[in-house]
Amino acid sequence: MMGFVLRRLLMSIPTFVIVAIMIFALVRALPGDAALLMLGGNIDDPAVLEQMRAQMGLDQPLPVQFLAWLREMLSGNLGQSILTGQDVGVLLWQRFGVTASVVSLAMLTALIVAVPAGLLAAHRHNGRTDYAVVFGSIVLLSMPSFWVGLMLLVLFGAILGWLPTIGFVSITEDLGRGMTYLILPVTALALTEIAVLTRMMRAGSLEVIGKDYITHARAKGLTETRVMWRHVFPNAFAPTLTMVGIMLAGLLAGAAVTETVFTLPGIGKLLVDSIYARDYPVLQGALLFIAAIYVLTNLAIDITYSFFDPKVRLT
Amino acid sequence: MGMTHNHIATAALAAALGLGAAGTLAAETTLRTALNADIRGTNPGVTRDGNTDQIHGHIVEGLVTYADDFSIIPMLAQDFEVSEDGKTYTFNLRKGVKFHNGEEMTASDVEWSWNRLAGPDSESHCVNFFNGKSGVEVTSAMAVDDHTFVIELARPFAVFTALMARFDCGSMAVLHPDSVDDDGSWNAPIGTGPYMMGDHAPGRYVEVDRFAGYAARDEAPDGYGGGKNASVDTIRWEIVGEGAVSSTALKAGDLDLVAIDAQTATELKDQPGFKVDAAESAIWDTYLLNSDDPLLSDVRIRQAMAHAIDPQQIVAAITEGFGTASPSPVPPMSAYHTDVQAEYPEYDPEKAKTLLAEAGYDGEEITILATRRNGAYYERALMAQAMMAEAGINATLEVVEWGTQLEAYAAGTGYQMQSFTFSPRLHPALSFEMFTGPDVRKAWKNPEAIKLMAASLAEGDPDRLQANIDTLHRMFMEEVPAIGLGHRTMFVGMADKVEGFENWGAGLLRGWMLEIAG
Repeated sequence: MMGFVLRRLLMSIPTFVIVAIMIFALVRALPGDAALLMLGGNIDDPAVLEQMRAQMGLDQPLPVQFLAWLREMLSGNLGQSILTGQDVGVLLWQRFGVTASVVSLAMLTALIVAVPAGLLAAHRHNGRTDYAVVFGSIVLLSMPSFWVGLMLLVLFGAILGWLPTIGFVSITEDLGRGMTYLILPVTALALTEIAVLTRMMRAGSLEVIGKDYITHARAKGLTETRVMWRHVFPNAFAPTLTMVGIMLAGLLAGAAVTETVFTLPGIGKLLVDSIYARDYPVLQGALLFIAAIYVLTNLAIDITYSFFDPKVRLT
Repeated sequence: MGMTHNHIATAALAAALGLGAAGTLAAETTLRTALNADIRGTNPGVTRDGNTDQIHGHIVEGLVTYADDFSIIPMLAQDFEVSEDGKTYTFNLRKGVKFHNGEEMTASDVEWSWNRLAGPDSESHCVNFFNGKSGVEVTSAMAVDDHTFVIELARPFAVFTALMARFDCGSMAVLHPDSVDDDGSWNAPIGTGPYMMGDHAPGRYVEVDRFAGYAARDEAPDGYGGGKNASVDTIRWEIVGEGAVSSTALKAGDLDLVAIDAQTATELKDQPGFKVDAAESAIWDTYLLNSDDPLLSDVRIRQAMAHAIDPQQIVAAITEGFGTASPSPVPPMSAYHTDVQAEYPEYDPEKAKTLLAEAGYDGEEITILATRRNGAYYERALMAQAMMAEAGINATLEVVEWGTQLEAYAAGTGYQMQSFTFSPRLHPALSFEMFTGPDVRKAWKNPEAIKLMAASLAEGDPDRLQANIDTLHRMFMEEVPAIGLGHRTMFVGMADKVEGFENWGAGLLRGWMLEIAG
């Protein structure tokens, strides 16, 4: 197992090098001038613009800029934000904490709802419960997350006044208050995830339910609950787990829309803001960080497979 | 929001020490408003953008500032004199002005602050406004005694004090030298403003706290100057990226005062518990025309476009009927906006067609560059396209991201027409300068106009300046290097309990005028 993990981590090094080159090239290929944006387009004097470019290190040739960035990055320094002067590494870590708390809670909530719902729908295949679950998940899937977020804010914030509409308090600062700020974004994220995962879980279970070993288990006289949880669930969960991995990596890389609607200072919001401001160090750092999240999440999911599917051996 | 234990303890301690205003324990008041992006930093004139300037404007002040009608009035200066030859400015400083650390402001602090922004080691873009590169060359800036500060110019320049008052330089903010560390690196702003820098949680909120030792001027509030008798204890700007979210938060009572769009203003104005303020600003919404383009180089085509577009209809549509057209670059609240500035080409599609025929226009495509950024750039472009189609002009839209459009603007290429907006210019000559000049980005490159504009920048006599501005306006309407629409209406929604709010042409929040009732 350790060998597998080490090998996979070593394999990710070339991935990172290629990703780094691509990130740099793509970021610089973006039309728009960072210095110009920094001055708010208010250039009364070209000398001001030149001075700003020099301050931002943008007056150097591109290969020089790339090598400087690579050198700094290899020594563990992601640079400073052009916008605020903050250390990019620290900034990413702070913002990731916010995103991770929202996303992991949402994923947990989604799994708690989606797995039983998917199993139940498969168990009652073509029955009323099945139709209700399928209909529910289609409705949830069809609602854009931006709209769901705003509706939740309007209902629970503006109309009922139960929950705050803006702001953020970290759960490490104040657990009780922190939770009130997390309920709505977690719900908004979880609703979409529930829809996708329920459908995956239902499809996987339907496939397994028809297998001989399930008929065998039933013939042994096992209760339906035991059949579903002990025999159907572990065998049907693998595709859902793959989906969880993809979704988790995507969301940890920043749930930009949800973070914008709920004013959460997460990594997605940071990424979007840095694109608009052409804050190159933050943008490059954030994209690399996201690449790392993808690699690590996928590795974690691969390891988890072995717990559910005995056919998967990590060698 | 209730008072926290900390606040009670602080207030009690303050009262016990005799620091309380009237010896009574009044509840701390907090006004909650929103910014669409976090501030860039706390260093006025250095780490800045439009959002950041608003916060800095509560913390620091300069020798002079802008009045409501954009004339220049003294702020930290008691008054100032200009020598006969227009080259020496003598600022007599107010006495008894305290910095946030309790120390009294002297002319040596002013000199130190001037050199910080305009000296050779300046980290600020503001240095370029005073080192001769843009016309103004300051040859010396010195404290003569404790309360007199003198600036010498190489040549007279009428808009010199207007440059000093610039918001992006914090009005050449006067700071206490302890604002920087021993090694010269930035620490925190110790200014003279009615508010002090408070708590800042990056990406979440920024706060300023009322400065109890503030020495207010005797006059009534006027523009960014006059008496600033702050009443609200803390102003908190929450960072809210999405306008729909900040207006929802206002309705939920989580924010007290929010910049809103025209649609929300219409919705909110009849809702109990809220009020709406709509005020014209000096932000100029316009269409820039690229006169270097082969097709648009024919003045008749540009004139046809001006007659095809009805600014009145477009402004009414984007402001939900709140605003009116004002196509002149000189904003309506300016003392230099007269009947002449109210003239513009009448909306006449038939006349447009005649002009097009004369120019031999044969359905060639005219591309309008626009962005979906806030500020109705896209909507303005869309309406212009429809109106031009009615006059027989084949216009198409090219919608790009703001950074891309800004680059096209700066390069002066890659567009024929663009839906654009200029931030407030508070001197009539600067209102023309923003799009007039030899630089590639400037839409108006007529040498005669450039000469008149340059002369206006140096003109100290109000009557002669007005005459210049009137001539420029008429030339502008005749040559159509741009088609002006109007000066943007700013909408602010607030809870009923917020009192004292008044918007003004520059559109910057003046927290010191606000009160919270009850």
